[in-house]
Amino acid sequence: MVTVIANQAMAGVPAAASEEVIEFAVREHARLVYRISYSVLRNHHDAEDATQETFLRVLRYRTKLAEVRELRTWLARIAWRVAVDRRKKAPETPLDGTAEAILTLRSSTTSADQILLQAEMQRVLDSLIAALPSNLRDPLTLSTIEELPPAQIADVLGVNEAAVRSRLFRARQILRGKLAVLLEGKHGV
Amino acid sequence: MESEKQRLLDNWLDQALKQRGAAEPRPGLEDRVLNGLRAERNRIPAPASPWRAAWFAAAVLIGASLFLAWRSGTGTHRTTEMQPPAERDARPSPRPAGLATAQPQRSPKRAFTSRTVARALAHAPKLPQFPSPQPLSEQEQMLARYVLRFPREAVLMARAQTALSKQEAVEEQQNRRFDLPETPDEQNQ
Repeated sequence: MVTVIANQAMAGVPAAASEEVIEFAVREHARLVYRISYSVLRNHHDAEDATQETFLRVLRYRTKLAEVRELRTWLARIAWRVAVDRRKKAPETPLDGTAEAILTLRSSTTSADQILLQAEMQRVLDSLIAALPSNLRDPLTLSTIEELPPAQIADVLGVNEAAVRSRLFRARQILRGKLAVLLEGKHGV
Repeated sequence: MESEKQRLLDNWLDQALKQRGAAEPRPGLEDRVLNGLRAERNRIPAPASPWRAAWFAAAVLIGASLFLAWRSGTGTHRTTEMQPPAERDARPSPRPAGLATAQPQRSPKRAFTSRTVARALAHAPKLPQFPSPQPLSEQEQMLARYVLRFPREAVLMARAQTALSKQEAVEEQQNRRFDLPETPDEQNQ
């Protein structure tokens, strides 16, 4: 419904009205853009910068807004490209999981041991995902974002939906196998 | 037991992936992005409309054609000034008569400087054949007429002429041999 409204607003819209559309896009999709950026960059500051850059690109190409068929997918694609470009440019930054863990510890009733264990497991999962081949890693990374169904992931990556589904299945299979080996090694001794 | 382990691992993986993608931005992300966009909008000029671009192109074309017209006009003036050296010398000099008598008048040969020759060559049409075909001289025309009228006699005469020139060449060689400078022994005798 929201997309329909946005598309109606953009139909034949020249530069002046496009500013309203951009504001609407920011209000409506900034969180999605942020999550896509974060899923790639794994850092809040970088993710916010990438979100800003995504909308700056939209502003630069605002004359083409009228040609956009699906605003949400279009934004997701730009956000993905921006984040991947940033990851290529900048060296891998350390995950800011410690600060998050402290915040969670302060705000929740979970024990410190549990939080540290979760953080450790997340770190292991991150390293396992990073070790996947890119054709499996990319759909898996996008699939962690709740708002993105496989059809939209396919649009963002420029592949068909069936390919996305099969790659997701293979990626999960690999992750499951490696995690099982790690856990057996830990508890087997 | 094994399937139970598998199920637990699957559940954990699902949750971990969901948690990985559920990154929340700091509050006020939309406002920060919009502020950034406003600042950028003030910095960059609005994209030029296609009509403005068309007007600009038309103005450039008109300007270029006017300039070319002006250039061609001044070019004709220049050609009238650049006359052959002979004509230039024939023109009455604007100098006072006294000065003209005081300085020796230039000879017509000196008027042909390398620059004037180069200019004349540059103006001459370039022909595809080298050396350029020239019209026959009067003697050549007479010879051609003779050959057309009396071909047999012309052949006989040509043969006789060739034999004569060969004989002359042989005699000349022999004469050169006899004209050798005397050796020192001969000089002493």
